Amino acid sequence: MSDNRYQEFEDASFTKFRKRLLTKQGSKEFQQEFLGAAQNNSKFLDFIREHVRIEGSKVIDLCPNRLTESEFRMPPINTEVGLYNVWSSLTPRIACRTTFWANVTFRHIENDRIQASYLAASGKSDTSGSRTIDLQLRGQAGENRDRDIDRSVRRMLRHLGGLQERGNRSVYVDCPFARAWWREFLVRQAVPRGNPSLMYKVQKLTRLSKDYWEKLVVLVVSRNSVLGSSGIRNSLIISLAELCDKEPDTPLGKASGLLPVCRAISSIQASRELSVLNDDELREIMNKVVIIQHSNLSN
Amino acid sequence: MSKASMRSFSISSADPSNAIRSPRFPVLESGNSSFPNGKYTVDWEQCDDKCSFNITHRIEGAPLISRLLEDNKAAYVCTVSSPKSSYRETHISNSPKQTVRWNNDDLGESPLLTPMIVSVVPNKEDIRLDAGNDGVNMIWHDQVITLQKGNRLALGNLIRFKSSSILQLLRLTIDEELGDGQFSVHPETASDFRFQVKLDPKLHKFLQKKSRTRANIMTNIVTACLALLQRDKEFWEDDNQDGEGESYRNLRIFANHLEKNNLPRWSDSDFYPEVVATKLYPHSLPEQPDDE
Repeated sequence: MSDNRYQEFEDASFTKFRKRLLTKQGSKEFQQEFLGAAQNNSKFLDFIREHVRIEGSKVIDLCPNRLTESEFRMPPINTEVGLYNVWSSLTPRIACRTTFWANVTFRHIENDRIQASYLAASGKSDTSGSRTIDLQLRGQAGENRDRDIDRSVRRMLRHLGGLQERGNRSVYVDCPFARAWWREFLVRQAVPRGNPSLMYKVQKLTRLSKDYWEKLVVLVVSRNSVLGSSGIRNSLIISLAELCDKEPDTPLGKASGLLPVCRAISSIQASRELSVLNDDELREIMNKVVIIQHSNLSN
Repeated sequence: MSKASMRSFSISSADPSNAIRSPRFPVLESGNSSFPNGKYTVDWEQCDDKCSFNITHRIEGAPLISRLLEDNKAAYVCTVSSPKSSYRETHISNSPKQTVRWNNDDLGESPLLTPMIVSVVPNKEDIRLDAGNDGVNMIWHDQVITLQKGNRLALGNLIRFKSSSILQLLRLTIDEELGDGQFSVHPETASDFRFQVKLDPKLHKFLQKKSRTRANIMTNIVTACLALLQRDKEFWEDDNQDGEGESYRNLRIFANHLEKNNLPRWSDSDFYPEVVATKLYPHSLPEQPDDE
């Protein structure tokens, strides 16, 4: 292992660790142990160290401030932008790795920037991660308890670094630190420098809701996705951001509105390789698609 | 560049295809009879720097496409993609010999390449087709088509960096703690699926050089890898425990390879790792003098 590699969880031991936590047979006790350890930072860190090796030596700076649970779960725009600025030298090759982000989150716990219990908090409920763990471990033994614990364990792994078993999207969507990086990376790819007003509109678009971001990401990282091409993606994102700014109630501002837009683009792409078009030509097509879909869905 | 690394594919209308498309212009692609005698051949080889490919496109029996290429109204194109890191770039060339490069820092996995011939007419252009001169099917004869920038005129196969061989999925590493001649296999999943094969230092060194013994040891390692796939089969399946999972691309390719060779998949009840491993890589025996 060369020393200038970014520090990350060793792939094989982390895969083995996840497999032990996620497979049906014989995982209940191990799941409870994992969940219980998250009530105490040092226990949690020891638990991870016991099962997962860490390799590489190059580390990135941590978030300078301690984050509250809600800031970790749903960081405000300025926090996400700040994190991206600190981590702007990362490349997509490393930023798409769950092993890398799991170690970043681990180091934030190690350095007291976040609590391990934050990982168990559900975005849909106001119950804290610590309380969630407490309720589940004290719950009455049975199938429901096992199911709840299983869900929490999966949630913790997702928040830790993304769950590879969910496919490519997980790292972009589930791990708050990785999500912050990818959101801002895509924003800066789409918006040329020196256009703060457009940048703000695009930043708002990528944060309309968790569901919206997830649907957008699925369209970007799927195999054969049209939006994999940065030129096409950028033009569409800008067209959507302009529309959502002008028409805040547009159906295209909802996750369900993204699918018909993508279908329309896919039907054009079926016979036309859109990525050979220049930026102006792409903007013209995307504006047309967005306006037509907005009008179709609004009626 | 060694000749041995050169690979090639050809596309013609007679090739089977599942694609259901009805473009408003003739396309040279699998299963599309628009160019009855058309053939699109692509030769490709990976360069030594591991971040570029040399590609040579060749069009035969499709005069319409050849003419558009000569008139610079069509171009040779190759897309490079890595969905995992949201990367897809298009490389355009006026020459049939094209070098496609990428930056490995942009890729989260080995890239996928798709060669094609694409219209680059600046504005829309109407063309009246002639079956004799253009090489198109009679169904297109005397039809006026409108070409736009970006229209795909010929579409090649997807080129994958990795072959279907399980040997490509092995990452051999040294483990100082292992005793002489020992090894162990472990799954890795961060960038698609691979097996990490930990080897004692002497064994690791021995496997660097090709030999009959090496080939037999590799068969032994493959057996262990297949046993691992079988042991934890539910974890690698398409619909895994998380309920939302996607299977690993490498494993899908390998599963297809097994199927093509009429071998069972690791989730099948008749899957025996040693049988599959020795069918894929039979042990190579030294010649022995006759007993008689």
